[in-house]
Amino acid sequence: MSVAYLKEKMRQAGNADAVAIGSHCISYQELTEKLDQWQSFLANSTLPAGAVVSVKGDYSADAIALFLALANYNAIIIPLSNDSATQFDEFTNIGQVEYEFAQHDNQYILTPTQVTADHQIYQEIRQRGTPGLVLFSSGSTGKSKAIVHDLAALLTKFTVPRNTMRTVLFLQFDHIGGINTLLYTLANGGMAIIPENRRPITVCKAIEMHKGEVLPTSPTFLNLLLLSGAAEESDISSLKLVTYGTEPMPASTLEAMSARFPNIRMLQTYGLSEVGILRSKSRDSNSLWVKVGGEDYQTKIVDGKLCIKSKSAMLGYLNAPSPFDSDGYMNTGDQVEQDGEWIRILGRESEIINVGGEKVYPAEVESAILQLDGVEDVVVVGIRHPITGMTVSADVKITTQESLSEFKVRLRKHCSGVLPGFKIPTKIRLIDDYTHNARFKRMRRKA
Amino acid sequence: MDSSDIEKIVVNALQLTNQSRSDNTQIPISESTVLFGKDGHLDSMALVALLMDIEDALAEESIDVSLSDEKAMSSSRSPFKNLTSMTQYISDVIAEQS
Repeated sequence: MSVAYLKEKMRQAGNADAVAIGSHCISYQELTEKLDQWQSFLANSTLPAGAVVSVKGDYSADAIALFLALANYNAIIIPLSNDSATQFDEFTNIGQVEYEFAQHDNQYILTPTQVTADHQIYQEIRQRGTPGLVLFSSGSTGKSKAIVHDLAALLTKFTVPRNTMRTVLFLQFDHIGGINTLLYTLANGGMAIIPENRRPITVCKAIEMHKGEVLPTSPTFLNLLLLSGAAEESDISSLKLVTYGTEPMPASTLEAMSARFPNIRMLQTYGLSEVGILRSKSRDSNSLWVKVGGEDYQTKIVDGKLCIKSKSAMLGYLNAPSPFDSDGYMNTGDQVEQDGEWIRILGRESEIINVGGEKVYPAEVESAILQLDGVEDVVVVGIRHPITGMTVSADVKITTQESLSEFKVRLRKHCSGVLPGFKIPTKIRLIDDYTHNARFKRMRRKA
Repeated sequence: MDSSDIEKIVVNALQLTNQSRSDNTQIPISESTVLFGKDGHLDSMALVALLMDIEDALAEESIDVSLSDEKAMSSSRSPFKNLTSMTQYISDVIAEQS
């Protein structure tokens, strides 16, 4: 799909609301006009086609229109949202940014950086004559990798018309999930609801105000949503579908969601920045079993790990070797259990804790701990120990006034009833801060 | 910190362990109780947890030591056999590491 196709779809949507930022709504017509303006700005600029351009800032009508205009101009776009503000310099460096669009007094200003981007993958995109998109992996288990996509290939999948929905845009456009939701919404005349922040109460109020129907989010956010009671203070009855991905779902959180919101369908999505978001189907709302794929994807399981081949896969990493095998499959590193065509995601291979030869998936232990009253957040990691090789460590944020010793007893008593001994945390720490990053994904990076 | 203080910390940690255990798996707290090894009351996971708890208790007294060094594992006489050997091992580690 070209941007021209998308623009035509947007034109057809006319006066309908395209994007709501806080309480401010922008219609398709306004957005298309802004797109016209940015297209003529670029046409009259000295920006070469194929230039590597960063766009700093969060969603706004301007930012979305600029993004689409740059795509139409065949630029290689590096969106830098404030979620990763602390890494702007690192990303600008790795991405070899040649031009920067940054906001000054609410106006995007274009500045050259005097850098020349000569990476081989960039040269390939320029030869293809298509726009590019560079995203960075979250680095939850290591260093951020720069992922380069052919943006035209990503856009193609939105040519199939789908349901028109009012969807909360939980992730920014420097995340594959954010890009996916935004393009889906614009291609189908839907409305993207952008909450002012990702606090549960703000998200619920945005759903109430704009009658949101779909909430794509992470298990960590859903857990906080349940604990915060934000849903009791707002009318979120318009919500029909919650999709969750980016990290394994604790069974306890899924059960609690289904019990609390029986009318909301729960759907697991599976996506990676490298291969895009796969179409997926949960066995039922209460189930962690999922079928992933879709017309553009092929999957296979090798040594228990999910491997994906995608028509819209990235071209490669700027700062790491290619992860694709000779047949074009990428090993996701996610360990899965298989039951016919259904799979259940256990966790990342790199996060498995090997306790005396027994495998422990952090998500399973986190799920058990989250069942305890007064537990607001938890992250489980493995730490080295000479006796058992590795041992399970849990950092827990609690809302009770218990001492560490009191909480240890309560946690271990509970866990010994639901987990085998080797999965019960030996090291337990009480923490003051949340364990997730700005996108509500648990960070298991070792200090 | 002398031996009796350390022993107290180990005993407290054992009591904490007992609080998380069912009635029929309680560890009798006495000099003669075999903690770890042949006929010991603790399996390796429980021993690791006990050592972590002792580390936490020592940290509260501003003593930061690691009780999980390779040497203890390879020592010909297990330092984790009983209350006495455990107390001795911890005082040695404190003397060495601080």
